[in-house]
Amino acid sequence: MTVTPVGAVRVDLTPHRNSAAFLAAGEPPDDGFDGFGRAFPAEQLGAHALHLGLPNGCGHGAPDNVACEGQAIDLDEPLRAAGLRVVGAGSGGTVSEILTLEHDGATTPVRVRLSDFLSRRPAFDDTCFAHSPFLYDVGARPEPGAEPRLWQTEIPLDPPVRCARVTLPVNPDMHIVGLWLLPAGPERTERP
Amino acid sequence: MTQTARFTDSSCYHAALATLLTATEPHTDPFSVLGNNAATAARLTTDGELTFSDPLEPLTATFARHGHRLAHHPVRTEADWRQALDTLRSGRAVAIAADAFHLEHYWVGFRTSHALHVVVLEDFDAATATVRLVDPGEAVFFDGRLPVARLTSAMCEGDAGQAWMEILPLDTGRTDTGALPDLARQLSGDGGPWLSGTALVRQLQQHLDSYLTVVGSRPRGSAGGAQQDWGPGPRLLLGLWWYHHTLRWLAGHLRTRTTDGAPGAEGGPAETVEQASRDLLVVRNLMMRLGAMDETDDRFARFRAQLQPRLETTLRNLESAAAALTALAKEQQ
Repeated sequence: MTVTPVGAVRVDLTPHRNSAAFLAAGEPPDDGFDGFGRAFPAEQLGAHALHLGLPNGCGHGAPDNVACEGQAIDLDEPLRAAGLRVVGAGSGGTVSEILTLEHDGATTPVRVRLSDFLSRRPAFDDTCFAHSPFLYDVGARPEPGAEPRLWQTEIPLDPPVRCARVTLPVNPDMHIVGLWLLPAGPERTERP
Repeated sequence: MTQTARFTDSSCYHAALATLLTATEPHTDPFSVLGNNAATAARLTTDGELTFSDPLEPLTATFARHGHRLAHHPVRTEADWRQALDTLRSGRAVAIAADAFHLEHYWVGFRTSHALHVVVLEDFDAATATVRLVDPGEAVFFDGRLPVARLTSAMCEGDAGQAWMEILPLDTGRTDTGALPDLARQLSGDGGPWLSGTALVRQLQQHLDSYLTVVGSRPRGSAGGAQQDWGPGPRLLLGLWWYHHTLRWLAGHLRTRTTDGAPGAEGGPAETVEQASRDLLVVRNLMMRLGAMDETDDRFARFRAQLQPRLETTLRNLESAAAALTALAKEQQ
């Protein structure tokens, strides 16, 4: 079961989605997850699509994930984060990359590890977020021998850090489908 | 059908040989054997061309260090293949390097690629003439029975380099598992029969534009037809792919060597080797993308700019791991 922590703030990825990893039945093949057209069947996402804030028309060619190419994602409002939650996957292997949280010139590197979208089991401490019993292979052919997955991982930030912008790495094999910041509690102030 | 994987890995050689080792010696940790290797398998020809040997070469040496003979039997005729079936009939497991084009379960290459793919066969049933095929590949996991006749084409048609393999005890029974200095040399030293890891990375750094041109000339997967024409571009990408797995398994191996001063500790050689393997994979995958991109694509320069920093980080991590392993070896003396 997928549970997003209460109060988690979903980062709006809409302007940055640049890749179509999901494919709806009957649609012509696109780039897919790996650039060769291998795609996660959109119909298998179910309610996850809403949870991830995916666009209407997901699987019909609209970009649905961010292939990391160094994008800088500005938050609507800065917040103090106690953690980062990522849903996504690697293509062409597992991925382990640095996302950089920024605020007022201060930067905090956060390592994010995600298993490959065709991995049967997690390679790191990530867990399965969504699973399909088949893959749309090259040419949009249903392939029951492959079971694509989306993975989720949560990285605590201790101590919490202020964040106004998240900068992604340059590794287009890291696909981010959902991104949340987990707000920290009120900052304590020293009393005399 | 969803199948639960007992052991999987993204390198078919490592996955199959680890499964074969487990069938032979259930209590041996595959990482302790297959991971005790840091060879690039890369050489420079007299013409300066970068070539890679079959990963089986260094893995055979690795098995030998642990008292095993990884016997490799080329299959060129049906008589050669019958020897493998005789071994299966005797109750032993074997690994086969088969032509993927004829492997029905292997959706990645079935009817599209003549690349070799390695799987394990065991539990021959003479009554039904079937065998259990275990493919512990991460993306293609398969564990089921099939008639052995269905493997004849994969093993006997064409000349993809098909072979079968078995693990036998070495006659000497001698083992040499404490090879930290050897691993250090393979990472950053004379490298033995191959280029060391750092020599390979420096070669890539110095001739990156040439290698990108080579990769750019590779046949496209979408060009149609079965992939048979392995040119220097695909061979370079394949060689880097195997070295990535070698480093990944080496990192796993170092984590198992807790008696060697905990090389798996945070910031230790296991971690730096693991990071080197990941950066190398990013370099390899970006080179593959760049080879298929138009230079006027606005992403081309961004991806190209990643290569040297990633190679530099790889170089530093390999040097750091080699130095740490050398220091550990000296401490043990």
